[in-house]
Amino acid sequence: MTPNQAAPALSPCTVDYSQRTEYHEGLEAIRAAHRVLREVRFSPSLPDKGYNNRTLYVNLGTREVLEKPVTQLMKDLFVGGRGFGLWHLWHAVTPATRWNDPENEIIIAPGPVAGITQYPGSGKSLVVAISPQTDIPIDSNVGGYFGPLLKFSGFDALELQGKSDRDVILFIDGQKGIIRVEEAPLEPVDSHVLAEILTRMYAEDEADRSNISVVCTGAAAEHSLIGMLNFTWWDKRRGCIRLKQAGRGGIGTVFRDKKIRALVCRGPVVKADMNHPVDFETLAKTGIKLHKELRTLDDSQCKMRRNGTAHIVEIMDAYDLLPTHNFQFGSHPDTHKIASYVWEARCSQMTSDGCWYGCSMGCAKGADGLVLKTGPYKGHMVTVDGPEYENAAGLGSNAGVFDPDYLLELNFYCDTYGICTITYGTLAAFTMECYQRGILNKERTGGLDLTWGNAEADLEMMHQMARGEGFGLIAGQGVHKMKTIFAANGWGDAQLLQDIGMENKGLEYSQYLSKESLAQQGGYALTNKGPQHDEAWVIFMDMVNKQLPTFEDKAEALYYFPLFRTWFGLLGFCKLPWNDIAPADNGSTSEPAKIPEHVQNYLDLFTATTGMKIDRETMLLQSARVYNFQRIFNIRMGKGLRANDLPPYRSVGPVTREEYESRAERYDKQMLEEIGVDPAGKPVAEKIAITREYRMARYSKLCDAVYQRRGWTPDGVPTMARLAELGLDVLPEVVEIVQAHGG
Amino acid sequence: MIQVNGDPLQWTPGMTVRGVLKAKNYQFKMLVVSIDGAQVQRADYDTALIPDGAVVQVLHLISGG
Repeated sequence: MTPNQAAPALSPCTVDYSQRTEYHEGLEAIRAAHRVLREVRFSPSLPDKGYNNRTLYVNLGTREVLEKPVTQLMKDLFVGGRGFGLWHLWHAVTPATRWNDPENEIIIAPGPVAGITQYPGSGKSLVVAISPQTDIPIDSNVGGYFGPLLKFSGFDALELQGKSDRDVILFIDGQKGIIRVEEAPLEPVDSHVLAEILTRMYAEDEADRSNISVVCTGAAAEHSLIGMLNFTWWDKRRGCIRLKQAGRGGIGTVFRDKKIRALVCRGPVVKADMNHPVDFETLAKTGIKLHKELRTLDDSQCKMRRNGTAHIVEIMDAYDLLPTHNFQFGSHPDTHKIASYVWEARCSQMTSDGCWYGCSMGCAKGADGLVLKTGPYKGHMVTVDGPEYENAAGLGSNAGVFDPDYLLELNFYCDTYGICTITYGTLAAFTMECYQRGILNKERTGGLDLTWGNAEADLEMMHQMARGEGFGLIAGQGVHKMKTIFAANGWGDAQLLQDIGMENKGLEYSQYLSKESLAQQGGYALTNKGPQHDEAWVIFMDMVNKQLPTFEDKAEALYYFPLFRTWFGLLGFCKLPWNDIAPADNGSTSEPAKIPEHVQNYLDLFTATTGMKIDRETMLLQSARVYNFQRIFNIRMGKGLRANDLPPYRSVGPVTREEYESRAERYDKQMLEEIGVDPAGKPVAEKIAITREYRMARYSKLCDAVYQRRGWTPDGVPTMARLAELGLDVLPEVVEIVQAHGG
Repeated sequence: MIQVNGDPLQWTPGMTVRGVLKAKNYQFKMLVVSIDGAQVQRADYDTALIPDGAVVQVLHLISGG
């Protein structure tokens, strides 16, 4: 069967929830071992027009707890969310700060509209820190209840600085007005256990569990650079905690380096108008409109309510975009085994799957009844979220794993160990290709047979990462550092390792094949934090629709979409309800790809919450200030220039003979028609070299066009004129950096 | 011969939008289809005939995580 065929009839998932393993034994002993290290009282408050106008600062080293004012300048220039995170981080660090220095911070900020319950996808937080993988700011967008509950306790952001000398829990009680740092010596480490225990421990009764959210990580965050943070919510229907991830860039690693075991927020009971918006009626009306769209159109569009983002697994395969065997290929005959209809049957349907109140898209599908085959929880029955598309592609096709149960198990252990699934997927695929090419072998991996699709070896590498031993320790350094380690050991050719190691700026690529879309090559490598698709996903516009024929067209897309999508992270929105559902008449609009009606919804929600009237230009201006500030922040930290925007060649074109031959018709046609060279009779190695020279030159021209459109110099530095347009020229330190780099 | 998103495709008598989508293996659901600039509604994909020489645009909306 090919992925294109109709979905087979699969039995719906039926699970006896009473058989699920529970983890609250020993809770009282764990609680009894807690010791209060610092307790501070505060006055809980609710936002006014979306803002509390104060943030919370906690130093884990000195145990200092402070309230800081949100200034008008912060609101005017940085809005909230990621903007506030970057602003605080800028003031916390110096150019010499590295991820494990005490001054590095983790900032969690939900944004002024976050927490409204009327519009789907409005409960997001942005997490910002100096990344252990990239040495520059990372921002990660996450659902779960923590951010909104923090906000409804009285704070627009939480700043965590310093390093504790012992494991601690920070408890914020937004009902009683207590902030407590507690020594936590006996806590379990892994997220699915720890979060369940802490939810029960800090809730005053069963109903109160819905008011608790925990932020935590797992064992692998202590032994790798790729640790992520889980943000929980209590799933009343299932009777268990659910996890959403701030995945990218190793923030979980920073968290454990500070010896934070968990953050726990107990917020007030959530009600509809807690942001105290200026125009509640518009929030309600705008939300009802989208709820109706979802109810009437989702089944004929993306089926997000049934499959979540996994709905595109077979779509990506059909368009030759599904990363397979470390991004060598774009499809695989076994994709049907991990296609959306498999997950539709495997995940429980008709239950509550929104990661914040009021989300009728509810895409956080829960796969119940997974009985684990390996690792420390072997034999346990668990609920695992997902897999989302990125997990199915990264842990699945990219590593050649097409067994859905193993894929779920990889997903589960990533979550509970605190490992970013996207990063793990790309680094595991890299190790497997190294194994295929003899760069790695059993001797070098300590006995791991990393053959494509060997899920048991893949899982064992992950267990090693969590235990801090064996080859898992090396893999946990990420692709960027593995390339250096392998080359230093004399394992493989350094250029080949550079070409096939799918990272840029130190961050692993997310799970789309960009080889045949020049615009998407830029959409990945011309990002601020590293190659994550949340800035610009333009493959269809470029490669399939052919809407972006010129460099200027591509540059315009790489100007607009990164700015538009940055805005979600300033306000506290999820991107998915923007474009994974579209109004029935969207096709009749002048720019259907932008979903104009939904853009207007967002403007209306912003105005209705804050009272500030903005238009589309102002929306882009708000984003552009933060986006350019982040670029300059990167420059301040020693990156952020043209040289740092260079992609690995695997993301641009065929590295190997097999890749070339898999698309020979396409590459030969390009050689003849665009390069002006007749490929007939040429050996494949020569054709690869000719294609490479052409494609890299084209990428360089793309950089020129994008930098110009963004108002940057040819070296990628925002110009003084651009700073003045954005109003960032009032910040002397920013001006100094730009001027020092010829901006 | 017709043009679909700028690429040539062999025309056959009675060719419909659905036929073009199948021929091109276009499986994504979020599409905006037009024939010579005139938009075709999704409900008409099975019946809307494509004339020889037509310029067909199959606009795929943005997807991806």
